[in-house]
Amino acid sequence: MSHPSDMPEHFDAELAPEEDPGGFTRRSFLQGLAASAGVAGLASCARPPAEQILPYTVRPPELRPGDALHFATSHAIGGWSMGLLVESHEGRPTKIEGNPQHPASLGASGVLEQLLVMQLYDPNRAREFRLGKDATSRHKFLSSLADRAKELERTGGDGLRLLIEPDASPMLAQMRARVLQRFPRARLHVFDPLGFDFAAQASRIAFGRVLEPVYQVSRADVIVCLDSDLLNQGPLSLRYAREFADRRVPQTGMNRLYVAEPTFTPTGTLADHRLPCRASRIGALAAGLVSQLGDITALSQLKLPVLPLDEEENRWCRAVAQDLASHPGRSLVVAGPRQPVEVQLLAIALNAALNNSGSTVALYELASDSPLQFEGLGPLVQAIESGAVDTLVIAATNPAFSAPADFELAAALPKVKNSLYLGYYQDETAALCQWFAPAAHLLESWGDTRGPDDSVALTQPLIAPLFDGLSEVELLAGLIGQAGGNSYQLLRDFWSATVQSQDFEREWRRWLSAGLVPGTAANPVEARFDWTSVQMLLSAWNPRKPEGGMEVIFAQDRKVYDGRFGNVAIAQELPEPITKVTWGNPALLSPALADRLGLRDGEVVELHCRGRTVEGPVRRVPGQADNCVVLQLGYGHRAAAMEIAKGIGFDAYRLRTSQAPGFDIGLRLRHTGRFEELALGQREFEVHDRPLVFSLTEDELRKGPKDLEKQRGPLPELYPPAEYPGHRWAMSIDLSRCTGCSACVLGCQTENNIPVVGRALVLRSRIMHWLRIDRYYLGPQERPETINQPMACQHCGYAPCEYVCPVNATVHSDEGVNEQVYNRCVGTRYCSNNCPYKVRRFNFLAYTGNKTPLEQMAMNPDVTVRARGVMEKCSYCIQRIERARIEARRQGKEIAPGAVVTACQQACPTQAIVFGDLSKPEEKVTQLRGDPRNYEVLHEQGTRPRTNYLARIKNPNPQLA
Amino acid sequence: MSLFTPRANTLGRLALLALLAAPIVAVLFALLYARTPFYTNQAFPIQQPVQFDHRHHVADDGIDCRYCHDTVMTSWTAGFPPTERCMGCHSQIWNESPLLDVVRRSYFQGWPIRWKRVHRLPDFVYFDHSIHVNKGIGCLSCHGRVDQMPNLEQAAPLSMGWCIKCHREPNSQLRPMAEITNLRWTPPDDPSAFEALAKLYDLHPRTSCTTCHR
Repeated sequence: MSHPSDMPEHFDAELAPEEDPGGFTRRSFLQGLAASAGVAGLASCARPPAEQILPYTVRPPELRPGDALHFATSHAIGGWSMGLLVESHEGRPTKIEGNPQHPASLGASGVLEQLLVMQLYDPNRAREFRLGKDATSRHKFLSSLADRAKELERTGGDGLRLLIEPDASPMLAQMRARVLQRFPRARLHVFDPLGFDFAAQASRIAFGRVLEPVYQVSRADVIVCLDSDLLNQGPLSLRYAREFADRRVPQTGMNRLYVAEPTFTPTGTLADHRLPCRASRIGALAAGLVSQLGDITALSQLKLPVLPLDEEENRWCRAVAQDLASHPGRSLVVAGPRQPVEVQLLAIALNAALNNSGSTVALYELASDSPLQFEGLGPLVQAIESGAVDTLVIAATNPAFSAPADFELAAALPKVKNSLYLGYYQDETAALCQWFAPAAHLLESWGDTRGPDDSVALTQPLIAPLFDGLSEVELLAGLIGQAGGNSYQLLRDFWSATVQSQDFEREWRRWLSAGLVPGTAANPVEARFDWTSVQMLLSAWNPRKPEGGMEVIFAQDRKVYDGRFGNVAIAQELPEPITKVTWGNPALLSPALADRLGLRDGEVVELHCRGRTVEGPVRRVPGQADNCVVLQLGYGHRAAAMEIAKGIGFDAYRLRTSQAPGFDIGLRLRHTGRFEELALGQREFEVHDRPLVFSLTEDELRKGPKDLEKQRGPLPELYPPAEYPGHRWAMSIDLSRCTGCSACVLGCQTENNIPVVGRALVLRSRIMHWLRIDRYYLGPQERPETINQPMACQHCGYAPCEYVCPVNATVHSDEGVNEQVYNRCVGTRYCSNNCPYKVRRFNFLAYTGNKTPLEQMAMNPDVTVRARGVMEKCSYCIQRIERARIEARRQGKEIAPGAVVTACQQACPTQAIVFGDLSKPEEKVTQLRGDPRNYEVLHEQGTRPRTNYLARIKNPNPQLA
Repeated sequence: MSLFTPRANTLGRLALLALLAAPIVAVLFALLYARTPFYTNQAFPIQQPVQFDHRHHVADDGIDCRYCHDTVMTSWTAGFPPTERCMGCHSQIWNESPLLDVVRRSYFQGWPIRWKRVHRLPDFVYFDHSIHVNKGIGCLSCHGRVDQMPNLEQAAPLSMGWCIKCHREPNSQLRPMAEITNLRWTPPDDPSAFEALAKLYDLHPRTSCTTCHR
């Protein structure tokens, strides 16, 4: 910049900076700013850059551009098979549903299934093969592995150990056997932090062999859950939940559910009689049931130690026992997996004595590896310490994070000379291993899975491995010198050798299309219950007496599983079905205990147990048993590469020992004086006498409850009512069926591209879920009843939001759907303020603006990705309605009943959500409108909601009422 | 001498008038501008990486639109022909033409041809070809005389007002299914013919927001 020449010289010198700071002066910066603003203005006159179209060179024959394809596959998290149906848009998986043909799914999907797609596109997932400290390629990695395997072969695999997860895959079983064939001195170790083998041990004692029980919940009139989350956790829980819910319809012979559990579970929320009971007291309860049923000859043989029960427990046992006795062959007793062998045995004995075996309990013999076949983690750690392990191959998920604290696996791992980890993230275990291979995601790999009844489902990839990852099968193939063989070839070879069919190609295609291998399901076996050996074990039963301190219970988390989904943001932000906590895992305790200790929600405490300490905030849960603390596992990751999970919550694994993986006694809490606010998805749990939810008995319903009837029916109209000549879309939600499992919330989130906002914004109530599940506690804090109420836009006939929008961004369609027009919305948020249901969500920030290309792949192309500053809410999955309409109208038909299924409805395991067209009398939703349980939330407001609810009906035992 | 001449009064009045008129003129200008082809992107022939001439393929050869745009009856997208479709003919005819180098390279190397989009709708618009074509709206209604375009250009404004106009009064755009891709078809003079077609197609055009915006 030059100065006018007539300016005095000293003036110039005075103004000139001593040293040129470089870059811009302020003036030139402003000049540049003005110029670029001007040029930017000009740019708006230019044509936008032409968008490109990249058609296929050769189009796959099955593909119709623009339409989604669905592929059947399956996962085996936890070991057993779950059938999936994956939606794929031009080769890009975007959404997971359940496979209706699969016996474990019946078309429903749970929380974990919904998370799989987001996990696939996790930007933090591991991408690089590593040998020592050096990154390498897949090819080099596999050739180094082959070299190492050759060396090992010379000694017969001496010092080779494999750490794997329990998995019933037939192909994996064969590959593992082949590994042992090549390396006869190698050993396999199985580790699953959430797996317990108590039930298997009990089965071996009771039947002489390991039998897997499959329950026929639909046949059971009386169900007793002893610390078991039957309807929400476990490989068949989706199916159990459906079967259970189908028996919750009044006037059709309802079943009755008794639950004794330490803290609320989704199963417990549906219980007719729920007894809060510490995990260590469950044994006494089971023994109480057996002694109350002493009239049954078989049970009278069992001599049990005398375990005192208090008055309430006694009353409960008496009533339950009587109910069980009057339903022989039509009852079911289930002990939770963390309960010790003795309790498992008592449950088996009760079922056997009540003639439930063969009717409500089907027992299956496992074709090959039983859970007890391999050694666990303990012997491996001992071997490492004694220097017997030369090469360790880890294909289990992050054992250094989830191993019992007393094993000190993280300290032991570096002592192994050669360690290899196949991991999905550069996690805690990866940091301790010399070699690292990124694992292929489930949706990138070929494989097979098996259910407890031996029925086999295939796993097929939806996309080629994004980062060239290896599957476990491919890793094992590398070990046995088949590095070239990809998992597709291995799987095909395995099955073509297994079935020996003439026309294998055709069958193979049929299996892939259905996701199932037909004819693989075994028949249940008859098993003789061995009373003598059971008696032998039980007579030596010495349940632990309460010592000093409280009971600590380790619980499987419903969102992050064993921690593997911790880095999936939508998992962290899902309000925990019971506690409604997002982004964290507070220690759960009863309100009474919290009051005694003077603890507020969010107060950070030190938890001491057996010389180990962790720190975390507390949260009171009404209905939790007194004097016990429940810790959810899988939080508190420390690996830097897991950017989402790192530092969220605390790591309860560090308190958990191999002696007491389920629950332990001797916990002490100490105040730290610190406070950590909990990011809650719901803050108010009381109904304050408002008629929001109803819980009635069949008798009360028959009499016609006045307060329920007040919540429905016509209201006075000032204007002539609006006409809806065409379809009238509506929803009905059955509170008798809803377990609160929150699969619908995630189904909605993935279907509708709903963003995650993060902990800080959840704390400011800016969570974006279109569908939330409200939970209300009714009754006293110690023994409350709780009701789950899914709440989304009610699509009011007279919608309060529509009256106040100044720009007509929310309008009513001619079919009664309350539409949100993102492009009109200017963000006044009047609509949200005027919505009595509080279901509208505002994009305070540009949540979707900075997504990486990898994350963008998860977006559903049928739904607009919203920008900052607009309101959004449930649209009744309008994209699915319009798709069904176009499908039907193209053929000149009307939309058929049942053709529109919303995302939440599709995910729901219990079919609590029904969607349809009120103009069609044959639609289920229309029929449910006439149900005596039908009511509207906030009916008195005159909003005429299109979403109606069905009151919960309970089936209490008159003796306990 | 006064500073202002009598003309200054006129000038002043004119200036005031201009000041008042300015916002109105600005709005009018904006409204008019939004209707010009410059704003709607109409009448800008776009050069493609392959010199593909619709005049030749449609008018001279008489190839039906649906031979290349094959999903127009069944999917929301009309379907862009995969390179193999080009090669179906051009492996036999003009198979050495340098004009088709790009096509051959794409086919043999497996890389897509990077065509430039001519008809661009915003991302929040969910337009479905299949339902329009199956309900008797011909290609001509939106795409114009493609058979007369050396380089394809956008014929219609593709604005929301233009869409809605037809959704309210669709009859004049209807044609029998046999003539759906015929660009030279002349509509009958008799309006009752359109009414018959509307009845035949069981036409219920929708104007709810979510028909197109989801």
